[in-house]
Amino acid sequence: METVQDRFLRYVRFDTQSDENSDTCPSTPGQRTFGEALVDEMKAMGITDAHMDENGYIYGTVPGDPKLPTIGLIAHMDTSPDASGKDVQAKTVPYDGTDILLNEEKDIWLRSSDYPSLKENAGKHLIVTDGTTLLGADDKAGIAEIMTAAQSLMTTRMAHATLKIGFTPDEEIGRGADLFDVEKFAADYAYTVDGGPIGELEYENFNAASAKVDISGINIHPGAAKDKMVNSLLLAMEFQSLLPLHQRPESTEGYEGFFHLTDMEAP
Amino acid sequence: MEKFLQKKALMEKICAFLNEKYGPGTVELTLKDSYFNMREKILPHIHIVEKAKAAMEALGIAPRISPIRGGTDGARLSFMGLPCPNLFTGGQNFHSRFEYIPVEDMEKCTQLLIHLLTTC
Repeated sequence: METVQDRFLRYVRFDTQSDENSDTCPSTPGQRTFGEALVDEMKAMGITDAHMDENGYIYGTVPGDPKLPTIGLIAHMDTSPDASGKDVQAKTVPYDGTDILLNEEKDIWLRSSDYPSLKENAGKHLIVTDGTTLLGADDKAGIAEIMTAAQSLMTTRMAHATLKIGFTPDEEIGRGADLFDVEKFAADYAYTVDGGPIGELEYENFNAASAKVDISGINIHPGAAKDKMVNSLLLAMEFQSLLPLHQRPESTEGYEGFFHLTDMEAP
Repeated sequence: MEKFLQKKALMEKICAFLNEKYGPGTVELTLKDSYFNMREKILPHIHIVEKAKAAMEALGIAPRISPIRGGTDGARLSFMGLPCPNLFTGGQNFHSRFEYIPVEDMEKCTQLLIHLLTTC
């Protein structure tokens, strides 16, 4: 049986970066290519109903004891638009607690002084990049873990619940749940496998809203501006200045919410 | 939820104040809800969180339960009728060139998933 590590290393070679400027679903063709490969792999392991729907969502069932609840496992196929996911050069390194040279030619290091939690992994084997792309563990690790668990269930003699598998496109651009067919999925409950460090278990998240502020100013030659000019840029700054200083991402944690200015543009 | 509503109300007040100061229609505010806290949808099914916690403990993994400071697809799915907490993958430094994942933690996650499916 293929290990979760080998499976993951195979998956990260697919470029599945999503694109928020695209209106299609999936937003990029690479996600569909990866999805097709996943369906083939699921079929090869005996998941006979594995398929991709017209929107690029993948579904499949590992049948189990019908007396037990039906459990879903969900992960996403795309990677973040924040960093390139093309030609990912992943490698596995035994980690002894010292800094890791990711890229000799470009002198890129993964250092515990920059990422203190790195040290907690001393003695483990780390899969890293060459420092020029993201790795794609978010969320191809989730997919590799679900696929490996599914294969194990397909071959075990142990009694197990029915597993419903769901792989979604475009999670990173906030659309992963949009066209998910909850009714067809027909699980009693599910887990997304999309978290970070070992042990993470989450069932609470923010309430969030977006706010768009349009400001109409009046432009006029500055020399003749008295009592006429309304400078929209200054008004935007005034708006921002009226929001509480201490409610920003950089000064909040835990359950404390924030106002986050993400974009400002002049017409 | 109350603090969330207060934040939205504050933005509306600022908008009204600036329109009073500079004239009607100077500032226009469009608020749009993005997602909500899945907690209220999970609490009636809290056994699925307890189950994941117990499975981790059985495998020698220390559970780290914390609120997500942002959104997650599981939150949307929970509101669509599928209660859906989130589990670790083992990965770190997501969205970055410095992203990495310990092989041993991927193996633990796989064991956790199998455990959840075989002990219910």
